[in-house]
Amino acid sequence: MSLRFIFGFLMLALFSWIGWDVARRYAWRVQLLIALQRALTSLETEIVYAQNGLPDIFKRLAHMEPALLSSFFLSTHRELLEGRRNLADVWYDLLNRPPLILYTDVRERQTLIDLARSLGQYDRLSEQKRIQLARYELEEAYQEAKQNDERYGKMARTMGVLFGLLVMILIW
Amino acid sequence: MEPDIQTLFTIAGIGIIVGMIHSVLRMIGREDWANWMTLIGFVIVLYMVVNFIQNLFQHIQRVFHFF
Amino acid sequence: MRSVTIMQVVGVGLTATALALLVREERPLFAYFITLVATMIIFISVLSNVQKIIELIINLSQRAHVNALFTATILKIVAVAYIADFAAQISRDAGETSIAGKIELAGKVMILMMAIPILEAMIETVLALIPV
Repeated sequence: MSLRFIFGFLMLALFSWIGWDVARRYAWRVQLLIALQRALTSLETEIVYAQNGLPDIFKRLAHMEPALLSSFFLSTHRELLEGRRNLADVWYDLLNRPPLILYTDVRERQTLIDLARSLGQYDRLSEQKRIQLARYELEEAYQEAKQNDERYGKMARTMGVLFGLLVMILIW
Repeated sequence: MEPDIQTLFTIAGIGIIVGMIHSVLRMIGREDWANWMTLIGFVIVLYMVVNFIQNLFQHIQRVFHFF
Repeated sequence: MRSVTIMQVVGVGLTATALALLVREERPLFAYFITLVATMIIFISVLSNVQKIIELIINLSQRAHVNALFTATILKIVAVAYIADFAAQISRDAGETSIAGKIELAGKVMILMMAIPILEAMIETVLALIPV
């Protein structure tokens, strides 16, 4: 009898955890988008006011951003230093593989890759405009992500707990 | 299975929770999933109730047809 | 079969009523199931007590030298009546009065069918009494 009880609670914990994990994914996308916006601002500053080349800029960005984005920028820096590929391809690869593919949507990936393609040109003014355009698109994506997070995040957590309760009652 | 108070609470519990899941899913907009869930809950409870009915009739047969 | 006290029956009944009320606003469907199961629980509990009554009836009928066939038929009729009433009540609870009516109709037909042998026996007895 008590064994079933313990098992039931385990099921409850399991499903609640699953729901909470799915909710966490939504929350992380929001965080990621905030960090990306910040990074793009820094990128704009660096490009307009500093004289460094792209690889160095990315190295500095890597130091400024936490965890996920940091490794993203570090990898960018390394790949650019090897000199064989251009920014767009590098970002295409990095964004379409785990871990970043889990936390980004097609929208922001496309925005970033488009931005990457245009960064090759060295006209400061148009680069700045492109970055601002990218920031604007990211802001839209951020709003959508925040909405999703609120709706689906809460739903995922609730569903997890409810499902766990259901299974627990069935096993009881 | 022998019908007793335990199963009564189980059915009530399933009913309430399925109701909540239905509301949550409908709020999200996935009404089709909501309906599937309700249907599944209904089938589970129906299975239990049919077991009970069988049990009941066996009891009745035993009591009445012996005599 | 253990015999059940009235307190247990009342307990089950009140709990089930409360539960059904709680569930009714969420999913009336499950409230129906709760009612169904609760009635079955009480019914089964009562059956154990009914058994003693039946034993008493059989005892009496045997001592009165009533034909065993008659006693058995009467008891079967009572059983059918109870079951039909139980099912009809539950259907009516759920709002399906037409189904309830048909269940009762079926019960009446079955009772009549079971009574046929007794009616035949009675007619034969009466006919035998009439001088041909």
